[in-house]
Amino acid sequence: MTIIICAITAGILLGWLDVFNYRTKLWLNRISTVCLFIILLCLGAKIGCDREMLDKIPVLGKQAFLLGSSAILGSMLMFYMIIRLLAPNFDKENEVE
Amino acid sequence: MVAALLGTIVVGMVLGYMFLDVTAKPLLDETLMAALDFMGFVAGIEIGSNRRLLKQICTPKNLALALALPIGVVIGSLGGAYLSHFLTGLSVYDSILVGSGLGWYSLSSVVISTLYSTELGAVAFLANMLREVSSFVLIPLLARWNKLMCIAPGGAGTMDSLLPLVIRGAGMQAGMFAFINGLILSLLVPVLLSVLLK
Repeated sequence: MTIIICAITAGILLGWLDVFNYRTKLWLNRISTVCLFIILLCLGAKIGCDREMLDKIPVLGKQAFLLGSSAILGSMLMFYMIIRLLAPNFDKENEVE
Repeated sequence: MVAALLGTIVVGMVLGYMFLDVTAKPLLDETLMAALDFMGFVAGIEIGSNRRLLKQICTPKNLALALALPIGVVIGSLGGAYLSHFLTGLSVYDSILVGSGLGWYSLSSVVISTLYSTELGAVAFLANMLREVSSFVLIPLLARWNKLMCIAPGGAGTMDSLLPLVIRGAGMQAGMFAFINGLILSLLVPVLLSVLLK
């Protein structure tokens, strides 16, 4: 956790100082996309390689699914209210660059 | 993109099942973390490069929004976890304990299984991992509906692992809010867990 916070902070500093040119940033972004797929592959492999975890999934999975989904839905409901209250025009004001 | 993300997880699961055993987990963790660190570094560069946006966020209205979003995640997650106890059969305390992981599955599962119950630790791991994994699919989908809404499912992960996805799907401005949201939630998870486990 500490390392990733340091990595993000270092990135923010280097980005702020404008150390990298456009071409380098483009390549860093491409490698970053590859990293995203490596992460997903590893996450899947972590579940797949653990037979004990796979055996427990039907039993604990239902509870986990309900808990996880409820937490997501609860957060989305709260966000819906906050966005309507504080930032109803956020999308219009911030088009994706 | 969503199909590719889901497909990659499935391929990983199949490969893990066929070719790896549990001893491979530390290596997978190291690979995962290294990739995550790199993505965090690149996401940081993108944030830092946008001076205009950094200045833009420092307004009273945006600061209020940046504080309200993580508060919303905490209330929503704990409220949702509370309501789910009617369906799961778990106690209110257990449900809220799992919900207080706020998507940080590695920390919450280890803390809960060490200090409270191994079984609930496994539920915390699965529930919070589900939150993170499903966020990889939900973020691009929700970003099409509302750019800020796509931050909601991620919880603490919006600061690191999910940040590049938010930036890609919803843009830099939403990415800033996602980073602040994840940062505040990451600081809150250990506090919430230690208060609840006292």
